[in-house]
Amino acid sequence: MPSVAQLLPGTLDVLILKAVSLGRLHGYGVLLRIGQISGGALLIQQGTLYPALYRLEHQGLIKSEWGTSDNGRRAKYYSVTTAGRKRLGEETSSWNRLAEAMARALLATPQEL
Amino acid sequence: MTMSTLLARIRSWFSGMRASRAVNAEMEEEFRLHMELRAADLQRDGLSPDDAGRRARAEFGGIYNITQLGREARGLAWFDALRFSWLDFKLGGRMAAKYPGLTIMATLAIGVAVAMGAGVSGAISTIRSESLPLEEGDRIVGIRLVNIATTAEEPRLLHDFAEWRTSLHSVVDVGAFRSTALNLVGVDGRDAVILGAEMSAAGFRVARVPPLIGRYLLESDERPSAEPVVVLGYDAWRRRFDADTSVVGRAVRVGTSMRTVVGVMPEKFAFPVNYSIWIPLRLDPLDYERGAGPNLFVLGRLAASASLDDARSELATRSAVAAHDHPETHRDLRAQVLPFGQAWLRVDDPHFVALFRTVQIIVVLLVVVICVNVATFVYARTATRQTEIAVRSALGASRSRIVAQLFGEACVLAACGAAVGVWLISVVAMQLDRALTQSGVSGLVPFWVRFDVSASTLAYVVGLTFLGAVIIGVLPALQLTGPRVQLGLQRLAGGHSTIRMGRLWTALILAEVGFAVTLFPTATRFAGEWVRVASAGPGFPADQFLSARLVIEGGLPRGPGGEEATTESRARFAQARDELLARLQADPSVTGVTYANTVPGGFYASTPHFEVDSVGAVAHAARFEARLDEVGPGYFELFDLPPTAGRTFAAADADSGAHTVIVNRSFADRAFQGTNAIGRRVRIVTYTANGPEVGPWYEIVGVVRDFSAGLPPIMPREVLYRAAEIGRQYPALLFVRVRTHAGGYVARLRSLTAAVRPDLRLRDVAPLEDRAHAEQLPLQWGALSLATVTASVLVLSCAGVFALMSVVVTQRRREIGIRAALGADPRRLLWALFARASAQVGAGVVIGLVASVLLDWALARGDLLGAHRVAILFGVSAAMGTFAMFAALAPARTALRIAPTEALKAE
Repeated sequence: MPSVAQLLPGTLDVLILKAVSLGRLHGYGVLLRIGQISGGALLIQQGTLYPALYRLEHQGLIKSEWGTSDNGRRAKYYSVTTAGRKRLGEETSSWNRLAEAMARALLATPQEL
Repeated sequence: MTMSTLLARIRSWFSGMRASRAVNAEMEEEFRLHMELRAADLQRDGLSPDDAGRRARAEFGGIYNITQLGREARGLAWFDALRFSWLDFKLGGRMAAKYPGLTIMATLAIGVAVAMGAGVSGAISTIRSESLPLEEGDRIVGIRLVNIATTAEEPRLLHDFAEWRTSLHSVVDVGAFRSTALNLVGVDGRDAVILGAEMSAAGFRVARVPPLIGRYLLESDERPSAEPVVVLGYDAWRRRFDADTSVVGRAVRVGTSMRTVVGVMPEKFAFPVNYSIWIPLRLDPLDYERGAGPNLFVLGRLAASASLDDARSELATRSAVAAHDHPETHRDLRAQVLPFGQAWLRVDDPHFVALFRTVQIIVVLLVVVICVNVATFVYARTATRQTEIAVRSALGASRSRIVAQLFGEACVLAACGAAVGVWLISVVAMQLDRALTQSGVSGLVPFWVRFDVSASTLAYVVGLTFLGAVIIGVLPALQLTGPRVQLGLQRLAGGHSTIRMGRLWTALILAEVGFAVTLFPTATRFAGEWVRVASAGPGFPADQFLSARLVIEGGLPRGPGGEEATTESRARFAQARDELLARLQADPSVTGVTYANTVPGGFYASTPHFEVDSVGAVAHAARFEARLDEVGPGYFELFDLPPTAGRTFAAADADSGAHTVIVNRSFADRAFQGTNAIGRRVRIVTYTANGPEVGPWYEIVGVVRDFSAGLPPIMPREVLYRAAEIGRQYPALLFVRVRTHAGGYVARLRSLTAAVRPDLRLRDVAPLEDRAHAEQLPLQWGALSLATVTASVLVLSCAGVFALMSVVVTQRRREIGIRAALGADPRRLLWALFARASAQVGAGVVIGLVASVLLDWALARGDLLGAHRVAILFGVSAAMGTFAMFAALAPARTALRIAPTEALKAE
């Protein structure tokens, strides 16, 4: 089992956007999908998931609709909106630039200076 | 923020606010599903159902907290913070009971403020209403002609009316009317003067009110050859004919002629203004030249498909055509269409509009000032609860939640004040209605203007109460929450007080003391005059005087094509009046008789500005306002006013060419500063758009003592008397002095009057004392209102100083304890306590004095530094200081009783 990493502040929203961009999901499904795509490396406090979902919906980045879950129960399903997809693209680029910069900075050696 | 994001947020807010509980239920449903799914996964991993459920719930966290976070994430935190619970109001009620003094004071203060604010605003909105309380009342209009050069209204529009009624498309049922006082002889043979209307039949169609019995007027009744008919109002029918239904079809005496009653209108019908009897308007334009004829008021109803703008447009075109066709009379005349109420009351006049706005701004400011004052001591009360506020904040209550709670408490206080306010409005409205009825002017008040607690007044009450609650609740709450809460928490353990009366509250106390001092001189002047008059009595045998207005039935006869009242008709009236005076004089019961245009010292008087000839006159007194009374022969003798200098009027002074006047002592003193007034000259100054215009000079031939028939001379004390010009004055206000009690002479006066001329009538016959007091009603109300406001502000000022001192003592409790322990002199301690209050009261008094002087200067009273004025101002200052010190006494006593050990216990 891979070691579990704490989520960086501000990254939960991007992860949710990514998860729901891969297909519509209910809340618990979002949690599982993030675990799945991160290889189980990211630990998400379950209580923080829903406020984040509502915040993104309030901002118009995801939308929700009621449906039926696999166990036959009524469930609320979330999917990404056009604005959310655009934001995901921007955030992904921004993250990649940051990650690249961080990687470069952390791999720097005295010889390179 | 993009449009889609904005829409998403609005949708989210809307759904959150619309169905707050449903949102919570949906969230909880979502959470439960989450935990069930997680528990199912855990079971698959080998946990028992119970353990899986327990662990799923533990991992998820508290549903309540997550629900709250969810609501915050949806942007509903502010909405939640503003939601009140029943407990907020319950707590407000408890606080009101716990601090009865504050509750009573705040309730009364807010009650007075709300009553004045809502009463005045409600009355103004009723007066300015665009709709009458009739079917489609907003479509009833008045049409009038206005001279654009002089802005004066031209009421002689018979020819225009005749054209409008046949040619207008946007206004239908065009009719006209004029007021007339008619003498109606009832079933008992007794007559009574009733205010009625000569009206076109169209007027009834405009009103759309069917008659109670019979019919209303028809166009055929307007023909000169038609049988004279009359329509009775409900009250006239009930009182004069005992509600006899067979009166319809019967001939009754109306004035000097017999008329057949054709119908009775239902109760409360008084259209178009406030009439109780209607006769047909029979006027032929051919009898009058264009621009001449009687004064008329034109009304109509907007056509089914027409708007007010359509009517305005059509009449503008008609005006242009009339100006082109008849330039000699209509060059500057323009027709205006307005909602009927506005047209009748002339409330579209820019001066009125400005006045209404100013009055409304003043009353709202008054409410704000009084509520801010109440907020001062609510702040002091709330400050004592800082521990509670700090603890609640520490336990997680947001600032907005605490503010909302304090606002809820303030709502309770404001609602108590509103209840008192509504009660005050209803009492004042009832008294005003009664007073107007007693003074005989109620008939002049249009039927749609009612003195009661109307819906618009209640709407203002609600609005002002909310405003008051915001001020007295939110203002102190914002001051006491925020960074201070944190400070409060830090200091709680040490028992220190963090309450401070900052600059805001200091400024407020300063302002209220200043406000009270500004108002106090005027209020004391009013009160002083009333007390003086009440204690001194009328100063003449008022019970022996009878007053009555002498008129001609239906007004002065009008000449064809000429003025409303011809010189001949005025002369005939004067002849009849003089004959009546002669008969009265010959009656052994009468000791004297005269007439004038107004009651001495009464409210309804002409008060023009006068200019004094400059020889030796003091510059600032050169122009000022004074009463101008026109008096008949024997006036000064009847009221026992012998000249103190010069002479009284002789017969020659009533000639139109004689420019002579008599002045009273106040006028002479003010204009000539003690020098001889006889032979000096004065003239009337009229202020017009083109600057001041002056009239002819009048020579002063006599000076008499001040006299106002036992009324306080609140109006200008300065009076000029002019001899009533022969044959001009109409109507005449008779004053008859009898040997016994005036009330017993009424019947004799009536019979003598009827014997002189059949159409000579007496109206408003009453002892002079009663009439004078009726005329004084507006001033009484003014004085009462001013006294109430001043008393409220004064009480609030004292309460403000009390609150200030209480807070200062609480704040300096520890210091007082230490100083007392070290043996400080109690007097020095007291002075230290009083110093700040004294400084604030002193500063407020100075501000008030300056404002009072500036107010006088603005009102151009001219006697800025008179000895009595200086005395009043000093008296006011001393009174305020004394009041303030008394208010500070109780907190000071508390301060001196603080035991050093107790004060230092926390250390």
